[in-house]
Amino acid sequence: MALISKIWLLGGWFYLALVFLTALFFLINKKQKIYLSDGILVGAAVFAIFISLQSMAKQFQTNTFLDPIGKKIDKTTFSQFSYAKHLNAILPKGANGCLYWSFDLATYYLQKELYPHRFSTLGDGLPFGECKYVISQFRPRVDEKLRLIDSYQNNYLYEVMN
Amino acid sequence: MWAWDLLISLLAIVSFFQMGLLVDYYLLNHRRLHFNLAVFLGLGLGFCAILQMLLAVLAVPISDFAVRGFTAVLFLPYIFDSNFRRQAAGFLRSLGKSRKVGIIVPVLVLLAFISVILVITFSHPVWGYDGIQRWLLKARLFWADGIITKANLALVQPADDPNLWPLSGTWFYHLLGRSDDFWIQFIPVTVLVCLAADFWRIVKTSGKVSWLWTAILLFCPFLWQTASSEAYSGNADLLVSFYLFLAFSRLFNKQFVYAAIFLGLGALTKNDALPALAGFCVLLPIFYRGGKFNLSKLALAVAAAFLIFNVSWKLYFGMNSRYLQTDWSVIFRQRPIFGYTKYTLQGFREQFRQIDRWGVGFLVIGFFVLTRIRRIFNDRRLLFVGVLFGAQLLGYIWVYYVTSEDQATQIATSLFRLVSQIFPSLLIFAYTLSVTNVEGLKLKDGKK
Repeated sequence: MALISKIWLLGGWFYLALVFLTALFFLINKKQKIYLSDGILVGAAVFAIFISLQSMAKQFQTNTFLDPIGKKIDKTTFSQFSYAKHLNAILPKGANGCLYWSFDLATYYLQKELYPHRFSTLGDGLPFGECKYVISQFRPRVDEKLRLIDSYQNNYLYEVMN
Repeated sequence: MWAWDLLISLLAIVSFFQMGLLVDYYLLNHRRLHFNLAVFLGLGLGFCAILQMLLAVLAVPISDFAVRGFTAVLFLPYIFDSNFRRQAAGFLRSLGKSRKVGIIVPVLVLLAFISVILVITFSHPVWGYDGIQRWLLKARLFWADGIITKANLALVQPADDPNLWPLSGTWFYHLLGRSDDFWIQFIPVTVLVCLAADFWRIVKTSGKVSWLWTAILLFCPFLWQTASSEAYSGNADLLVSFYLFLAFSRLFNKQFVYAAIFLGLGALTKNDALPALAGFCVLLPIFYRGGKFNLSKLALAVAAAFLIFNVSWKLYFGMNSRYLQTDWSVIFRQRPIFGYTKYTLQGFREQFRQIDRWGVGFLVIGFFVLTRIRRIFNDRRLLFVGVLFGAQLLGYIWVYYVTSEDQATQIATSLFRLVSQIFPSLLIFAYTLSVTNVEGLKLKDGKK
C-alpha cells in the first residue's frame, strides 16, 4: 500500500498513463501501434486547444484592448508611465536622487523610465546621502529635510534641504 | 499617433527579417534565396545584436538617425542587385500560384489564433520582474546612451547576462525614437509565429498528423503566454527557445553551420544556452570524425568562434561571471551534490506534468521517445541531438547546484521558464523519432 501511495504521489495519472501507453505500444501489432500513436496525438492536440481556449477566454478583453494606449499602460503600471513622463519634463538635465521603495515593479519601472536621470532606491528611515531629489510613489513623506516641489497623481517629488 | 507607432514597429520587424535575409543570401547561401522567415528573423536579430556589440568594442555610438539610415540601406539590394531582385520576385510569383484547398481551414484557425494573441498582448505593456528590471532596462540604457559601456552594463544585475534581447529592443527603440514597453511586444509575438511556422514547415510532410503536432506546439499554454502575458513577454526565454529549436531542427538535416550559428545566438541571448553550444563544440568532432567531417569543420569553427566571442566580450567589459567566480570548495563542502541533483530532477519531474502550462505535450514527448528509443541509438543524428539535450539538462542541474540563491526558491520561480526553452526542440525531436524508421532518419524535407 505504501509503495502504491508513493508511486501515485511521485507519478500521478500523468506518468502512470505514460507507462501504461508505452507498455501497451509494445504489446500490440503494427497497425494498432499507428492507431495508438495517432490517437495520442489527437487527444493531446484537443486537450491543448481546450485548455488554451479556457486560458485565452480569461485574458481576452476587447474593452481593454480598445482603450487608448496611454490609458492601458497607466492601468498596468499604476500610473507610473505618465508620472515618469511628467518627471522627465520637469527634472533638470543631469538631475539624480533617491526613490523611496514602494513595491518592486513600480519602483524598478520608474527607475528605468527616468534614465538617464539616476535615482537609486531608498528604504524608509535611511539617510538621503548625496541625493538632491527624493521621489515618493503613492504616498507623501513627512521629513524636515524634505521640501515638496511637485506632486502628481499621488506621487511626490521632494528636494533635500541641506 | 498610434497608427504611426504601429507602422514604425512593423518596419522594425521587417528590418530584422531583411537583415537576416541579406546575411543568409550574401554570406551563407552563395547568393541563392531560400525563403525561410524563421531563419531570417533568427539571423536578423543576431546580426543586429552582434553589430551593436562590435560597435561598443570600437566605442562607436549610434543614434536614431543612424539606425534609420542603416535600415533604409538594407533595402537597396532590391534596386541594385538584379539577381537578388529576380529571385525575390520569383518567390513571390510562386506564392501566388500555390493554392491548396485543404490548407484553408488550418490557415483560418492560425489567423484566428494570431488575432487572439495580438489582442491579449496589446491589452497591456510588459509588466514582469525580469522584463522591467533586467532586459528592457538594458534596452533603454543602451538606447539612451547610444552605446554599450562598462558603466551602463554595471547598472544592471546580474551583469554577466548576454544582451541579444536587450539589443534587439535597443534597435527597436532607435527606430521608434523612444523606449516603449508596449510596441516592443511585437518582437516576441513575431518570434512565436515564426517558431510555429517553421515547426509546421518541418512536420507538414507527414500529412494530416502535421496539424496535430503543430496544434500541440501552438496551443501549449505557457508557450504562447511567453509572448502575450504581461509577466513574461519581456523575458528572453522565448528567444532562447526559438534559437534552440532552429539549431536542433537543422541538425536533423545535417545543416551544421546553421545549427552552430543558432546555438551561438542562443548563448548570446541567455547563459542558459551555453551548455548546448559548448556540448556542440566538444561532441561534433567525436560524432562526425572522418567521412563527411569536412562539412562539420566549418560548423565547429563557427561554434567555437561564437563561444570565444561570447566569453571574450564579457571579459572585455569586465562582466564578472556568477558561475565562474564562485568559491567551488565552499560549494562542494556545504552542498551535497547528489541531494541537490535529485531535488532538481524531482523539480523537472513535477514540472513536466503541469498540464496547465504544457498541456500533455510532455506525455507525447515521453511516449515517442520511450517507444522509439532504439532508433536514437541507430541514427547518429538523433543520438547527437539526444546527447546535446543531455548536455543542456546537465547545464540546468549545474546552475541549480551552484546558484547563490536558495535552490528551492530558484526552482519554484524559474524552472518552468527553463523548460519552455527546450519544449519546442523536444517536440520536434519526438516528431522526428515518429517519422524515423528503425534503420535511420528518413525525412523527406531536405531544405532548411
